[in-house]
Amino acid sequence: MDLHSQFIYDEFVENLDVFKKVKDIVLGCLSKDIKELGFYVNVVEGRVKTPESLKGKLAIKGYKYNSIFDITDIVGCRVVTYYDDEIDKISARVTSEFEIDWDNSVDKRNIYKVDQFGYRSLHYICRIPKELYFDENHPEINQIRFEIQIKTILQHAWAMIAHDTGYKSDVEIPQQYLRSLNRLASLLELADKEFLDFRNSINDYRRQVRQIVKNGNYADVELNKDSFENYIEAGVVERVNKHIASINNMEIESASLYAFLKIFKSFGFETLRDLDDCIKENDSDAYKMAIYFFEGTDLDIMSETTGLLFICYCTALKKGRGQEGIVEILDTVNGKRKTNERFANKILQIGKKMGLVKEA
Amino acid sequence: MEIKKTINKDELYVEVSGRLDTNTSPELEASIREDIDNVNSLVIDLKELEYILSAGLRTILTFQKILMARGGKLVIKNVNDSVMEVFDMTGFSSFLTIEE
Repeated sequence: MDLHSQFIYDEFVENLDVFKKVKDIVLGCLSKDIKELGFYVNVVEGRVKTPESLKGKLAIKGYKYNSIFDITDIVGCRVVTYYDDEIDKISARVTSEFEIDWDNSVDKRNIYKVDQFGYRSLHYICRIPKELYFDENHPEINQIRFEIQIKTILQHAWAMIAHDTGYKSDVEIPQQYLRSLNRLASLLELADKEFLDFRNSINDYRRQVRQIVKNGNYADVELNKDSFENYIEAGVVERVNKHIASINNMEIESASLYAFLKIFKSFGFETLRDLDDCIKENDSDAYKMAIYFFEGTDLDIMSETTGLLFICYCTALKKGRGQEGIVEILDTVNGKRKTNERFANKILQIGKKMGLVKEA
Repeated sequence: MEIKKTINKDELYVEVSGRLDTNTSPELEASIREDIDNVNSLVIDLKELEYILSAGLRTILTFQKILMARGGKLVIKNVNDSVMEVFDMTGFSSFLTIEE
């Protein structure tokens, strides 16, 4: 290392703790921002350049810098998002929170002509403004420039693989391989757009389902996780539970109901109308069956699963599925247990007393 | 009701015998509370339990919530037929970890 580079390197070592502090402040802000924005990202990470990496950089272009503070990527932070539109949301926070060195910041999403494709990423060179953080013992914290990269997970994958080739810039890469890399970049840009469209379509679908369920047009709605969730929110299952709970004035303990979706599918239900009809048809029998168990006991607590369990028992028995059908329900909701068979037999016997089981 | 407790590293093993009802459940709850902060796993062995009523279910539920909130777990072991029937009819079987 020449003397000039050695001087810059010594400055780096002297200020290492300050650089680490800058990294921690920036990471803290970015993490808080993302939490407030309310979506998940793949990663928020930061690093201070390693001594080896800095030595390598100084060996190549140390002459360009007068001091360590001229190098803008000693501290680098990165946010990797799942979706393209989240980049702009995070970018808006970054530009309002930090002081941006616009001359050295690059939005690589906008540098390509319409017929060009390449690495699309947003790189900001920033400083921490005093309003955000100030330590009178370390005023240099507000002078240090650092880099924030914001990109999608696919852009990040492309950059990692491209970097792995050992080429630092386009001009170093042999032309035929550069074409391959750019072809991949165009493919990933398309994939980013498709993922965004996919997410937006799913969100639209969920909004539509919520509205349709709210309006009670169950016949039009396919039975799936989203529609089932909305159906539960509509309060039908709650009414079944409250009906049963009234036997002993029972408290209802919340529990997951998703396992029932598989059971209802096994009954051949395709729409919410099928499910709603089943619940209406079996509500009274489910209540009567629950009386066999609860009346005369002091039990005054039950799980939220109880209502649908009794609905399913009655449905399975009426469909002629017998003890085996009840075991399947218990296996699905409780997990496979030897004791499920014994309880299923008890349900079967009660079902017979209630006339739900057609004798052969 | 009798309670026998054993602590092995991170696990509190509690054997309960007799009846778990309104009168006895507070005793079980108080006994487990003495150690629950020091463990991440609670095993309640019901081999000698004759029957369980609502108060017993609430005690189990209380510790299930405490442990789940900090990433721990509660396991119920050796449940006899009559107690198992109470777990099944109340739907508690759907969220309790019951080992046979």
